[in-house]
Amino acid sequence: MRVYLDHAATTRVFDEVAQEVMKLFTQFYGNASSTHSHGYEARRFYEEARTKIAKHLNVEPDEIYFTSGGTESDNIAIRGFLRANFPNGGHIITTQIEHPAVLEVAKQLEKEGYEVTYLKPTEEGYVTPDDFRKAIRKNTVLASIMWVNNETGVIQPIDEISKIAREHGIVLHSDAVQAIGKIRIDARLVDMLSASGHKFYAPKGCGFLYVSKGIRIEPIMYGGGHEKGLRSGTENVPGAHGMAVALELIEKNYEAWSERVKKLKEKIVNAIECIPDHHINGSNTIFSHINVSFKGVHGESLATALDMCGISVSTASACASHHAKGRSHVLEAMELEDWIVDGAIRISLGYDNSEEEIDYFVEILQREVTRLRSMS
Amino acid sequence: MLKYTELVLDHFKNPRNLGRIENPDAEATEGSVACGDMMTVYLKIEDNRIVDIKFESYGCAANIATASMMTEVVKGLTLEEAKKITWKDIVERLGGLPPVKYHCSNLAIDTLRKAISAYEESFVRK
Repeated sequence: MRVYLDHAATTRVFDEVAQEVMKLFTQFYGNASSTHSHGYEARRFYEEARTKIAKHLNVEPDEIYFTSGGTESDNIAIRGFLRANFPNGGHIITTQIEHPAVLEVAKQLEKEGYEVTYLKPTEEGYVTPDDFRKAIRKNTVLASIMWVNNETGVIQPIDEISKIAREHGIVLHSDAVQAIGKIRIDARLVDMLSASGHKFYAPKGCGFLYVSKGIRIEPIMYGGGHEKGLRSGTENVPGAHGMAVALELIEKNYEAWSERVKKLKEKIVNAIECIPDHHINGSNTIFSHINVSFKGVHGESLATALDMCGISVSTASACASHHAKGRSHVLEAMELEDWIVDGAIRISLGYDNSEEEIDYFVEILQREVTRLRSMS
Repeated sequence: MLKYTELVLDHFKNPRNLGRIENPDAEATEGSVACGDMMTVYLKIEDNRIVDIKFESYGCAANIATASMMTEVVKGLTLEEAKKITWKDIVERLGGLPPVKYHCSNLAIDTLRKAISAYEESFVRK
């Protein structure tokens, strides 16, 4: 049996989505910027997708910009905002647990003269509104706080941080790549938000950025002036349509699907509870994520052992080299003990996992943890 | 997971010489601070020859596989011969390792050499 439990890495495109996308590859293949009937057809799909996605986020269609994915959205939001409004420097608040698509941008900005505060999470994996408030300086111009952490699945307190940011007139961006399609969010809480299609059962290579009206932003890439000049490049109509169809499907089935995944997660957690000396990393986690460590078992060897049985999970900390590069910056920031950091595996469920798959996974997990423990 | 050879996976799944030796002639534990891997080697030595070797490991799949292969290679060798075995010999015998995992084979060799030195030092003191 092959069991895919790495939905935080990427998801299988829904069959319905694949069929819809295929239609655009072969039937409605016009360039959405062309002024003929082939182009108009494609444009219609593209703009309908924008409207549907906007509705899903509770924002206006002209606040949605299509991009190639999470990394590009994060870069445009942060760099584009600073370039348009604060080209000569300023203070930015972010967290130590961001995805590299934000973290590496922040590091680069430091080199360019910006000041950056990286908020430290609690050992439960979230940053506190209080720490956010304390980090604010007179020249703080932007904050970028992820909605859900990709490794632990911990939901960050965006609503409270949003209130504080508003009080102080700080523009707030959120990398919501792990939240969209999993939890219902009100994008109005933030000024800019990044998402990636392949994390919610749409194809790879497409994503979007929400930019609230009134927020001035400049492109970081120049060309034909697509997406109101913010993101040049021929419109990815199949990608945009695929994202809209996927989100529609999720919305329609949300209650039933999310309940089912919650039960599967419970089943896994109950099985983990039967294994002594484990540590579940992070609290207030999203219903699809479990990040767990077993004492005496290296995360990477457990992931390899599971892979040999057809089960795909991921390790946050790969033992990759002599330099501590391979360790998870998220779990290290949470200041967890060494065995927890080295032992962590991430199990991320999806709407397409079955009960049989989880029964098989749980049995193999218990067996392999016991076997690997007997070696140490 | 990283792409491992069939042989590496076989040694990971069925490690040779796994466990401990009661009253060993030498033992050593080494760890890699960077990646958190740890292993212990136990030696039984007669006439300067390794007649038995066992290991325990807390590490990644490559760590377990390289330790297992190392024990197979050095069992029966004289101490002088064993000291000449390098991490490259182990990697070759396994049919290769991803380069980021070379340090795992290093750990296996380091632990073996540490155990041999411990034996030789105790011998000198006697």
